[in-house]
Amino acid sequence: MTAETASAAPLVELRTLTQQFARPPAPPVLAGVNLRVERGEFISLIGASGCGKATLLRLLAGLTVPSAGQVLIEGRPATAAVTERAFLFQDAALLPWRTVRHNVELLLQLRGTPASLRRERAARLLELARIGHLAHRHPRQLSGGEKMRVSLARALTLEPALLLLDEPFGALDELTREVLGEELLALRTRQQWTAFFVTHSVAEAVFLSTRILILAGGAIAHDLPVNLAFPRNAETRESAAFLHQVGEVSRLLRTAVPASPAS
Amino acid sequence: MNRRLLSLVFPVLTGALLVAAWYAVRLYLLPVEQRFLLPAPDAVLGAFNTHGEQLWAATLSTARGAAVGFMAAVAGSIVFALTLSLSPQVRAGLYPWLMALQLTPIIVLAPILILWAGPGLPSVVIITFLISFFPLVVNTTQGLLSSDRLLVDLFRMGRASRLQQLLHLRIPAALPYFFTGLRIAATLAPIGAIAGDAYAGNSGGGQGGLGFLAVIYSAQFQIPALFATALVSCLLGFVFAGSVVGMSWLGLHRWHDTHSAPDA
Repeated sequence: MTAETASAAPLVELRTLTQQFARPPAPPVLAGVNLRVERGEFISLIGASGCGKATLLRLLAGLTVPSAGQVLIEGRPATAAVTERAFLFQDAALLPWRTVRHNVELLLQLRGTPASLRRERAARLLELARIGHLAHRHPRQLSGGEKMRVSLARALTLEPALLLLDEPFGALDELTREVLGEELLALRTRQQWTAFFVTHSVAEAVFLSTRILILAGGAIAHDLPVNLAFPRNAETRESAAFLHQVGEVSRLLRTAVPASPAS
Repeated sequence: MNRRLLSLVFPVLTGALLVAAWYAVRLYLLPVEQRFLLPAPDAVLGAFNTHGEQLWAATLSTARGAAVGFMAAVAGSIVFALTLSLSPQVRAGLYPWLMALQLTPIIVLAPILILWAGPGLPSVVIITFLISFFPLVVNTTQGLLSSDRLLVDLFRMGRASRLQQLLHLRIPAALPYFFTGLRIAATLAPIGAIAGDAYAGNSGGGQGGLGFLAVIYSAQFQIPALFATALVSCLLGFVFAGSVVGMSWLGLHRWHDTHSAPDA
């Protein structure tokens, strides 16, 4: 990685970030959030539905303009930042008319990368994501887990500094989900991206993260470090430290949910 | 039984039943003095012998008019749909006029067009164009506008230009819609051409198309030949619809569900 030496600004900084979709009597989705994230962190965002997790990802991606406050990526507003970011959606979001290989090449193609370089890089990532053998299939011939691997390979082609993941494994079965989680961590040792990972699964959050943010009422209710050693694997999931932390996060998540008469 | 075999056997079976019913109606239901109104299937086939050359020339004439009008409509509709997809303002400005054109019955427009373009092929082509244009434009525009939201976000994240978004997302995503429009238009095009030359009369002096022939045979009370004309018109429709299904298969079968075998 080359670009990371230049600036002293943190990778991500939120300054009194507020996001309001409905008119003021309705509460804002995010209300004055402050946050600093350094390179290399793996952050999970958890909280009840509608707590603003997905909105925060879109703000970081620069897909949404904040109502007030700032989203800074390496010191620049997210909508104008040059920092390479990649988004993994709930759905694999593949182009159904393209083969796996051409799907993985898409982002490079949009950047005008020459075809030979594109193919080379796509091939490498297909191997890393363990789907080299599927290169010539079309998306509809793939399982949900395989599609997500394609989506992940595509996201990593631009060597993003920031990876934004919006419940990417939410629709998969438990086993596939665990395997993909482990492989995501394995990929992280090769490419040094920083992750924001939205999930509803406390166990998944604890397993993957170095830091967990519990969102409630438009604010960060808890900011918790996860102190489990890497590499993490199936044994980690059975360790006392892991189970203890899952229990603690679950308890905090329950108490963090503001009592709302609506739900 | 094998599904493919089934889809061949059953149409043949129902066809045989229809022909049998045809003979039965003629022989047992119609009084003798009215039997001429429903010529026997063999009499209709006989008409191909007596009027074969005329029918063949008319078919070629109509097919040419239908093909030219249809292809012009396809080309025109692509340009028009791309224009409509530019912005809501463009749509608001043009859509009402497209509707107005579609809602004016072609039967009323035809005499005006013939006044302008003259009888014969040009009028047939224009009428075919008008009848095929609307379903093509509506479906293609819908397709260009209904790309998956996540994919649009993906392209925005990839900092795609508008042209890149059009080429790599909107146009391919519109293909299934385009082919739906194409199928509808392909069934309408021969009908439009035949209706067209029923009005526009003989093209280029001498030989008219199938619509013209139908008018003539009806005036001359050549009922078996009239039935033969209907049969040929129907076959022409199948040729058009079939070729479009073939094109659609070529464009979609690899990635879209339109052409996968139905379950159950």
